[in-house]
Amino acid sequence: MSLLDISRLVVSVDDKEILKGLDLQVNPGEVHAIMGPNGSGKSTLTNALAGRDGYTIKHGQALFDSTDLTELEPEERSHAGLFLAFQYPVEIPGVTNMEFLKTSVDSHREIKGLQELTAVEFMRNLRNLAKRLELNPDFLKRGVNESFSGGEKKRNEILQMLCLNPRLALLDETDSGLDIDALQIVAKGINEFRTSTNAVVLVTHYQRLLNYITPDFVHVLIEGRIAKSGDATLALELETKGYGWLNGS
Amino acid sequence: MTTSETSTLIPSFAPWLNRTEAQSVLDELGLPRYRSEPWKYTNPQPLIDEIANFVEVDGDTITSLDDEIEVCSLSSPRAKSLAKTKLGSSVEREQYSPMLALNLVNLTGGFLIRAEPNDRSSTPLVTIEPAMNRCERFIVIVESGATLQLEETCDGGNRVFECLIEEGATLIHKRFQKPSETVEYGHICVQVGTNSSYRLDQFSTGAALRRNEIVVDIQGEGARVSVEGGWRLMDQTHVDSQISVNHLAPRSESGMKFHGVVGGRSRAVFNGRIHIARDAQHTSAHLTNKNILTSDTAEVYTKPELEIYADDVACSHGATSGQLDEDQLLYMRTRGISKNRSREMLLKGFLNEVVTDTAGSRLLGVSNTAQP
Repeated sequence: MSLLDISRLVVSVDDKEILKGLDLQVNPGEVHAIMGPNGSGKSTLTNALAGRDGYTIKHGQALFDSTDLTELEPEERSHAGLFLAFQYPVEIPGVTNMEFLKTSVDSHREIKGLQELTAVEFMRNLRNLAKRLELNPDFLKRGVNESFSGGEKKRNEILQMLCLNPRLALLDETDSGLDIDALQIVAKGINEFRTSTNAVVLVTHYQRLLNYITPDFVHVLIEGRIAKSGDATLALELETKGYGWLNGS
Repeated sequence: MTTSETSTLIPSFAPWLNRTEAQSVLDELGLPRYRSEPWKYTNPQPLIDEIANFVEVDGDTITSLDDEIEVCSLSSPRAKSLAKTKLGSSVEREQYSPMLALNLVNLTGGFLIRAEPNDRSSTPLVTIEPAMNRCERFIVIVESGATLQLEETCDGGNRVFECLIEEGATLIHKRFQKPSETVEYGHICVQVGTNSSYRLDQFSTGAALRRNEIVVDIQGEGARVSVEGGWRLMDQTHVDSQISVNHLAPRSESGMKFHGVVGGRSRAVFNGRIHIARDAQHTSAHLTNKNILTSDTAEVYTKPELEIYADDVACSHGATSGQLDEDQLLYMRTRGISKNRSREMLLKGFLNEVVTDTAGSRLLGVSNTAQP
C-alpha cells in the first residue's frame, strides 16, 4: 500500500482546471522529485494536498495512508503525518518561534495521547536540531519567520519538519532563494531525515538540489499531468535539454 | 504621600479653577452633538447624562508610596499656587472644549501630583483607581530632571489629566481600562518640554461606552513621545480613542501605534492625528492603527491623519482593518495546530506587538498563562 496514492486528480482554482488527471504513488523509503516549468501545476498540487481553501478537487482522489485527504482538515493531515514545507514561509509577528514550535509539537503529542513536553525537554531537543541546521538559537525568541533571510526561512521549515518527524514530507521549492552553503545545510537536513519508513517529495524547478539529494524517481509535470517519469538521470537530461522536448507528449 | 487637605465636594470644590468661566464657555458653545465631526461615530449624550448621576463618594482614588512625590487636593491653596505658577493659563484652556468645561463645572474632586528629581534608580510610582461616579481632574507636574510613573485603572466616571513635563523629565502613564458596563470619559492633555520624554500605554477592553481623548503638545526641542496600546472588544461594547500629537518644536520624535481586536457587536473608533508645525523641522513622527475584526457584526472606524507644515521631516501614517490572515492561519494549521488555537494565537500575537508589560497582556488576555 502506497503512503501517498494520487489517481487521476483534477484540481481547479477559480473554476480553471490546473491539474488535469495527475497520477502519483509514493511508497515508504522513497524520494520523489517533481519538476516542471512555470505554470505546470506544481504549486497547485502542494496547495491542494495541504488543504488550502479555493483548491477544489473535481475528480480523482488523493489518499494518504488509505485515507481520502479531502476528508481531513489541514491540521488533521498534519496529525496523520503529512508535512508541507512552504515555498514562501509565512511571517507571523508577535508569535515567537518557540511558542509556535512547541504548540505544534504538543498538538501532535496530544493526538497521540502523550503529555506535553516540558520546556526543558523541548528546548534540549530543539537546540540540537537548530545546531544541525546552523540556526542561531536566538531565532527562537523572534517572531515566526519575522525578518528572517530567505535562507533562514527555508532552514526553519526543515527544522519544523525534523521536530514533527512526519511520514511524508512535501517540500515545495525549498531550494529556491538559497545560496550554495544554505542549500547544502538544507540538503543535509533532508538526507538525515530519510528513513526506510518515511518518504520525501521534492518539488523543484532546478536540478541543483538533486546534486545533494538523490531521488529514486523524477517526474516531469507539464500542463497538469505527469508527462514523463524516470530515475535521477532524467533530472540531468532536463538540465541539458530543458522542458520543451516534453511538451505535448 | 502628603495630602494637604481632604476633598471638598461639589459645588465648591477648588473654586479657583473658575467654574463660572467654564460654564460661560458651555453656554456659548453648547454641548457636543452626535454626528458632529469629533463625534461622528460616538454619541456623547450618555457621557453627558452620566454626569448627572454622579454622587459624593468617600475615599480617594490616588495612592503614592514615594516621599519624593507630592500629592495634594486641588482644593488646597498649595495646589492653586503650584498650578498657577507652573501652568499659567493652561488650566483655563477649557474654553476650547465643551467636554473639558463640563468636567470642570461638575468636578467632584481632584489632585495635583508633583515629582521632583531624586537619586533613586527606580521610577517613583503613583497609582490611580477607577473614577466610578466621580468627576475628577488631575494636574501632574514632572519637574525638570524628574521621572514619574502613573498607573491608572479605569472603570466609569469622568476624568481629566493635565500633565506638564519639564525639561529633561520623564512621564510614563500606564492606563488599564477594565471590562465594564459603565459609561466613561477620559481626557489627557500633555505639554512636553525640551529633551523630555512622554510615554502613554493604554490597554482597553470594552465598556458600554468609553471615550479617550489624548492631546500631546510637544513644545520643546528633542522631546520623545510614544503613545501606544491596544483594545480587545466583545459583545456590544464601544471604545472611541481620539489622539492628537502636535509637534510644535524641532528635532522631536513621536510614535503612535495601536492594534485592536474587535468582535461581537462591538464598535471601535480611532482617530489619530499628527500635526507638524512650520517650525518643527527634523521631526520624526509615525502613526499606525491596525484592526482585526472577528465577527461580521463588529465595526471599526479608523482615520489616521497627518498634517505637515514643515519641509524637512520623516513621517508615516496608516490604518488597516480586516480579517485574520488566511495564509497565517493555514500555515499554523498545516503544523497541526487546531483552527481555534491558531486563531487565538494569531490574535494574541497581533496584540503582543503593542503589549509591553504583564498587566497589559493580562488585561487583553494575551499573557502566556491566560487560557484561550
